[in-house]
Amino acid sequence: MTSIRGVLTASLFRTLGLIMIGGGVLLYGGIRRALTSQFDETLRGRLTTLMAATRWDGTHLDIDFTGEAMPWYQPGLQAEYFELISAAKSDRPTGQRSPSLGGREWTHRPAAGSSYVDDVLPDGRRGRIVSSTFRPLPDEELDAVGREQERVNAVASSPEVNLTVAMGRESLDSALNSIAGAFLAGGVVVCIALVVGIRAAVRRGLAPLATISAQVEKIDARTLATRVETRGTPEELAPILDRLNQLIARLEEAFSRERRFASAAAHELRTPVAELRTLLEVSLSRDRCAEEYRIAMSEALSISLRAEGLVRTLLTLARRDNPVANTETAVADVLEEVATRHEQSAAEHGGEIICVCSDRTLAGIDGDALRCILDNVIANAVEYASPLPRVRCEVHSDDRRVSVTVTNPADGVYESDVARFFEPFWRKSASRTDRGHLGLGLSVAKELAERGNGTMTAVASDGCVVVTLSLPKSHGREHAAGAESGAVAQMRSTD
Amino acid sequence: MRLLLAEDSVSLQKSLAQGLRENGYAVDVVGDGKQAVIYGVTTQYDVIVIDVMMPEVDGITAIRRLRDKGVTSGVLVLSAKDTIEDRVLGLRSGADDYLVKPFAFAELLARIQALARRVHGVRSSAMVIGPLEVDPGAKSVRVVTDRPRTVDLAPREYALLEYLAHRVGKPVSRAELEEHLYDDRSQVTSNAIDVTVSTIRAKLTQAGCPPLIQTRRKIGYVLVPIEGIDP
Repeated sequence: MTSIRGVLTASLFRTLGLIMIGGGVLLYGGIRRALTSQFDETLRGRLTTLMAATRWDGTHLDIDFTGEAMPWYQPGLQAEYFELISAAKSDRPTGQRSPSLGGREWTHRPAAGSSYVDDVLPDGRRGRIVSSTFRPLPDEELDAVGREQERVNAVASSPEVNLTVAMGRESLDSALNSIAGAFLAGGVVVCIALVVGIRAAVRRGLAPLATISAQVEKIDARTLATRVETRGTPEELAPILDRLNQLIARLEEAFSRERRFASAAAHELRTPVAELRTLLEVSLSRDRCAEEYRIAMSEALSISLRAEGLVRTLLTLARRDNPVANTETAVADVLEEVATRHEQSAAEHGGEIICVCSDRTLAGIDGDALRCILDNVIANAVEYASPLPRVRCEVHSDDRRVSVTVTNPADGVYESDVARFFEPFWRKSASRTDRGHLGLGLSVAKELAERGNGTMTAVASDGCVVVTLSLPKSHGREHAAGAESGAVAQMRSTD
Repeated sequence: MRLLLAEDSVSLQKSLAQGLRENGYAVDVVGDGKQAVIYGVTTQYDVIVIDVMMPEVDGITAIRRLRDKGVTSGVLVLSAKDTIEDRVLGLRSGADDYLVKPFAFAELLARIQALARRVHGVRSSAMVIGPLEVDPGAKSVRVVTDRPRTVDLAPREYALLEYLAHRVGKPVSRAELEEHLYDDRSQVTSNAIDVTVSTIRAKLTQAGCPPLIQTRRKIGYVLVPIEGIDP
């Protein structure tokens, strides 16, 4: 598993390391150039001094050189060198040489007029050499009165000469090596500091994640009311925490709903168990005739069947955990199918079911789920319609939703009753308890509708109850089949 | 002893009423809280057994209304709601006891008997009146003399004797006895109480018991302690 801390640490170290190395190299290069330039300035000063000291008297080339004034040209360990030669007779020096050269020759005679070069000095040391070609000034003695013509002649005959000056670069190299060493040592220290600093910074930067992790770790099924603290959270994490808290809220609601339902289901299961137990205990409390036992057994069977129905409904609901909104279904088709199924029941009670299904819009819900919803709603409408089960079912839609309304007359049903329609196990009247009604139908229907991103509402007005199922419209095309069927598909009972 | 059973489950109504009647109780049955209040106010029940979740008026509201109207019957709540809050609510609304479904029928009987004793101010389970011992728990009657003998009484006879024993020393009218011994569905003849008392007297005498049940003219009957027997 990838570690954010590891990735961040490595990335930061790599990036900062490259920046440090690059910076170090650039800085060293700058210092090196500056020191070399300074060294070259010194060398240029030597050259300029010697050039100014070079004189031509018309026949001889001479440098006004004294060993006391320029001791560095004397033989020695740190000796410097110069050589003055005629440019025309470069094969052999015609001028002067520094005493430090003695009889030694240049390893590579510098080209006349070349710039600063690094080379090996005659004594084998590494040095820096510069040479320049120029015409020497006339001898100062020719400046005397009466020697003007000689001076003019000397200037005219002044030859081009080549002056080479060389210095050992031990001091420059030593300085550069010291600086490079300091840079290397500093780099190692900085690298260690970087590792420590980056690790600390990353740990500090990721501390909110650790805090969040600790908070989330404490949240379980019993503590879903807890939310992850968002105060003081970095803004980058705020959206994630918001989503996380929303997820926990949804989980809390789902858990709460499941607990309420389980509690209601357990409560409702107690009744048939109590009925069965009491029936059996009373029946077995004394000797009875066969007929009494038969009646008791029949009653026990009836209770068991009712309990079985309850369990089956609960299982249906439990198995509907899968999303029911991933498919599309022609609402009108399912409505007509379900209404047909309940037609006979309505007829037996002197009623009818009227379906208005001209709107053939598709809804984004699983067909079986829709069938289960409508089956419960219409069965409920037929069963509890009063005085007669005249049930009207209608499909209509707008841009976004498809709705089904189921209307039935309901004398004696009030707004207070309607408000409890969708409560699990709620029944209007006790007399219906033993007619196989568990008080779960509308609760199941509403649950399924909500799982399909739909809603289910009920209102009581003008002696009627209207249950409205609203579902999201499918993005598919409108259902073509059956669109041409009449505006009103009417199913009437036959008395 | 007369009971009111308020329960919306028809199956449970039938079984409970049968079992209670077979144990000598007169039982009236209603299916909702509204009827429970009407019955409870108009008839003097010894114990009212009432469910909580009922149509029209729920059991808790019904108990409050009964208490508000001065009904002093013992009230036993019978409910599938089993949380502490539910029990506290039931008892605070005026109930005397709370039993969670499903339950053992024997436990229900025992609790009803305990409630009846409390209603009639009797603390011990067995009532002793002279040589006569009436045990509501065992539904048995014994005459304790030199030779202790058990008296075999029919459920109705036992119920009458037990009611008199609960009211020992106090005259009980025939109407009151009828009200406590017979439920709405019983066919009561005009001399049914007299015949039953006569039968009990005969059985007690046969068991060697002195005549503890005495007739109060134009009033009814009274069960008197042995020291109160008229010579």
